[in-house]
Amino acid sequence: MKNKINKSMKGLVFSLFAVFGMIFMPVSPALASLIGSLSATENMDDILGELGFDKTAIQDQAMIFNSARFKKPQPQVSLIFTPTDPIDGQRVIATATPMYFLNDMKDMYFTWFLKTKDCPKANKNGDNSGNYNSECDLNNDEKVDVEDWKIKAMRIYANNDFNWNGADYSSDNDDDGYQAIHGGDDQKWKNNFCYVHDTKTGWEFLMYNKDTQKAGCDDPEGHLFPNATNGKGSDKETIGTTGDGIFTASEEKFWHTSPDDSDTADTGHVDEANIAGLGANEFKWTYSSGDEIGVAVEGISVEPTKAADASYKIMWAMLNNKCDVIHASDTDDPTELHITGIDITDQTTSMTVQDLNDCLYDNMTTPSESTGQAGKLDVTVSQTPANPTNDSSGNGTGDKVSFVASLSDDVDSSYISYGWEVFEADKSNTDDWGDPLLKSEIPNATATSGIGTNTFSFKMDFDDPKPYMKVKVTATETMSDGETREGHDFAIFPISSTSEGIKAYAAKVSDNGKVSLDTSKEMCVDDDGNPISDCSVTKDQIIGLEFGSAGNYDNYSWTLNGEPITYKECFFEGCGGNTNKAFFPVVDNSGSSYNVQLIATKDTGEKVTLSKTFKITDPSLNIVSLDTSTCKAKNLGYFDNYDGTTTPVYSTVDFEAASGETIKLAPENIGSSLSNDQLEWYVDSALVSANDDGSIEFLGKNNGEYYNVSLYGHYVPDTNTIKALIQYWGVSYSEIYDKNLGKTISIRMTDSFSGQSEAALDRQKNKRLFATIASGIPAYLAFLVRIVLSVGLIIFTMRIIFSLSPSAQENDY
Amino acid sequence: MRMQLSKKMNILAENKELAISSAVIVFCIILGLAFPSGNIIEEITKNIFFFVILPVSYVKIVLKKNTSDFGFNMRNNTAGLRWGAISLAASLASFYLLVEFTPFEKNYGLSAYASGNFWFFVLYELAFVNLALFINEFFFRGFVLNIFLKKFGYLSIAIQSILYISLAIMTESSVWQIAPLAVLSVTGGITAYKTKSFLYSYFSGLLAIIILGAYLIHLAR
Repeated sequence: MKNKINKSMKGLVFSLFAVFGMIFMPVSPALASLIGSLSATENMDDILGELGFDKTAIQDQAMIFNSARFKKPQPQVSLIFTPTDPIDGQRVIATATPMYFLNDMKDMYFTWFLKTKDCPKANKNGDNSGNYNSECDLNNDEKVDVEDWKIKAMRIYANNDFNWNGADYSSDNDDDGYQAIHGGDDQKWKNNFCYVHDTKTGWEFLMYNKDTQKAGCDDPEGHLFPNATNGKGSDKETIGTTGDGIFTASEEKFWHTSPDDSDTADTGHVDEANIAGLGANEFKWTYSSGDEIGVAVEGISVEPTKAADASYKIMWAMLNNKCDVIHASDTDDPTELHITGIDITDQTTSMTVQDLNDCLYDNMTTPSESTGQAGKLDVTVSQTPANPTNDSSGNGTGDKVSFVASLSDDVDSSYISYGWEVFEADKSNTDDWGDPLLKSEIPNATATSGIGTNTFSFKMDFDDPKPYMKVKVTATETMSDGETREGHDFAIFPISSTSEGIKAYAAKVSDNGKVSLDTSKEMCVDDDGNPISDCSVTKDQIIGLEFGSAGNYDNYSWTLNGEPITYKECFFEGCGGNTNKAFFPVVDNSGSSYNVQLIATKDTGEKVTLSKTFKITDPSLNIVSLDTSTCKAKNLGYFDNYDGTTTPVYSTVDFEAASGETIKLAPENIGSSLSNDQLEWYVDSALVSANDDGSIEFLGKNNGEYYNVSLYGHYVPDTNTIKALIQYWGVSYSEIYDKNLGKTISIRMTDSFSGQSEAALDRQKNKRLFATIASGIPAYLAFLVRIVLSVGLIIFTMRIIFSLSPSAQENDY
Repeated sequence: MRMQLSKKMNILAENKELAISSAVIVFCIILGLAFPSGNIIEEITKNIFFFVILPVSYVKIVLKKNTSDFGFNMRNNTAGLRWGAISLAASLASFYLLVEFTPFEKNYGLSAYASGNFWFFVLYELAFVNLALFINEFFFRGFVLNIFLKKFGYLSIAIQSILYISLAIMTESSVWQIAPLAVLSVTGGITAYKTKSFLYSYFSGLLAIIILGAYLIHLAR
């Protein structure tokens, strides 16, 4: 027991000394270091520092937090127009989208105001009196101002095209009055605290009337609604105040609404509510050039007031939110107020709602300004193909590249003038594209300027183009008031240039099944070696393709009718990897076609896209004369070309030859590659042997005599080709194509054979007239015979009648 | 009774030539319109046969008269010149009124070849227009006029004119195209009646048509 008391006494004394020391004993830093620091701030800094917090950053955050209340967004409204670029007489819909309001759009008040070009702001007895237009002074106060513009707009909205001229306004029985609520239709029974937002400082000021000690909007004119008034000054007559719950016949007449319809505008609200703009977020009117429109939206902000009640800040949004706030005092210190029984402490302003009204002049727009369309056309250009290939060989096989300029939907492109320009440069991102190419320098260029020329194309057949090309289109529209607006767009694309095309050869198949190109005769070229567009191939031919030399490009991609060309096994040199060669069999029937496309690229990025089309035809034979001075096909006439030139047309079966001269004929394979030993010649039904080159020669007969010459052959692929078709492409034996071919011509001998020169043809032309006459004589003679017989018959008949009819006699008496 | 019958027979006999000639006129017109022809040569041949050769053959073979009795003469040169000049002036005055006061100028079709080249114009007038005019004059102002002249006198001018205009209306699609020829049928008819020859009316008509064509080409330029 005694020990316990001693222990307790010792603890108490120690505690007393500890408390005394902590409170009264100064601790020097040195001493502190001995016993540990007792500074809360330093402790805090140390602890946070240990934890990794940056004191400066935290201080910054605190400053941001403190100023956050000045950064809040204010209620705003934006407008969109449909159409965005109206023309005179067009119906336009302006749709207002309010933001940062708490209430629904249907509960807000939208006060529209419409200023037309012929109704500028003017005071009959003051400013701009020269422009005062009495027809625009709708409230007859000798001023054309925003009030008149509001009346004009809200009349249009509420009238809804009602024929008010014929209405009877002697009485009004439709009970269409509406009591407006400050801040919106959903703010009944709440206290009214109206605020204005200072855009620069972010402060919001309570409208407060020091004299009446009332909120600045807590009076009958606490809205921006247009009112039905007439006259000015002491003669001013108030026909009705909008939103007061009373809508008389006089007001109906003023607003051009129907006295028999409580909702003339068919909005679901009564007429007075429509005048107040309740839920009126859409406004339709007939646009005239120069129209300006604005809207003021009344509602409650997302921020509550500082009053201890359910109120939120009643605020207005205008288009540009351009409204300078008038401060209540020189300072922005909050003021403690007692309004309508409620205490509220906030910055105040002596501004009233009428001051806001004056700001409306700076918050208007036109449709084109609103959408940023003023002076600007929205043009986009599309291009096909995206990577055209240029042919610098001069063969004219470069890609045709086409461009289409598109405008936004509500612009009539047929009245737009377009201008197209083509530039070239070494780099795609250059700032200097230089001067545009002349039209004469652009191969096959279509029209480069004109109204409605929204398409442009040209051929990529430039001799030496630069790596990049830019095509720019400029679209210009002349507006109804004579002003113009334009827009432009451009397309930049790299140019792949090659002077080589895809070469086609018949494939040779060796006995061991290896396939190679028969380069002795290139397919699909004319006599001068120029590629021809129509390339005919025959069924069961194997076609070999080659592009340039191996290794020119790093990657090759061959496709046939859009499908990659692949091989079941390797049967030609280089088929395992990227190769500049390809083979494909012709397995479709006559009339079909194949389209081969090659995309070749280099690792440097250069690429080229080429294509070639093959038409499948039935094989046939033709006989041609090797010496046209002794034998030539008969000229059937001349074909008039579109460019005014003429092309002779020769027969393929009728020939003429000089009698007694040597006639030399040769075979011509069409769509087939029959060798000469597969062909047989018959002259007048007698088999004749051909020369090594497949031609035959024989002596001409006498004048007027004929030769019949026939050529026969049997088209069938050779054995190795058949094996290759079966082995490499899975063609079945039964599908192998074969056909008997033949051609017969008739050669007429003539002494006057002159190679059918022009002189001979002219002589022939001269004979045509006589030929015509000669051919027509028999028919004319027949006609003459008929007519003579007719005349003779009539004369003969008349003669008989005349003779038989009695003659005049003398009188008997 | 016998006398009455005889009177009737006499009346018939006196009018025999008129009746049969009228029938010939009808045949000529019907065949001239309906006889099939394949081309322009046959068309011209047909007109010559039915409007010239058939009447001539009828006059010579059936009536056993001379074609000079049917206007194919130039006996009265003095009267011919006088009346030819008068009809020319009257025709030109009528054409002028047509050009000035009606849409005749716009609707009258002149050969494009003739309008464009002087020599084509000469060929057009002297060959095509000349031939057509001669055939018309021979048939209507020669044959038809003289057939009805003895019986109807002045009225024969109207008869041949009405007959001609009716035929023209049936064959031409445009009223304006036949307007000059309608004028000539009246003025030419008067000339032929007074001079007992269609040749004077033919010459004045040809001159009037050439002057009209030249005037229209001048206006078009």
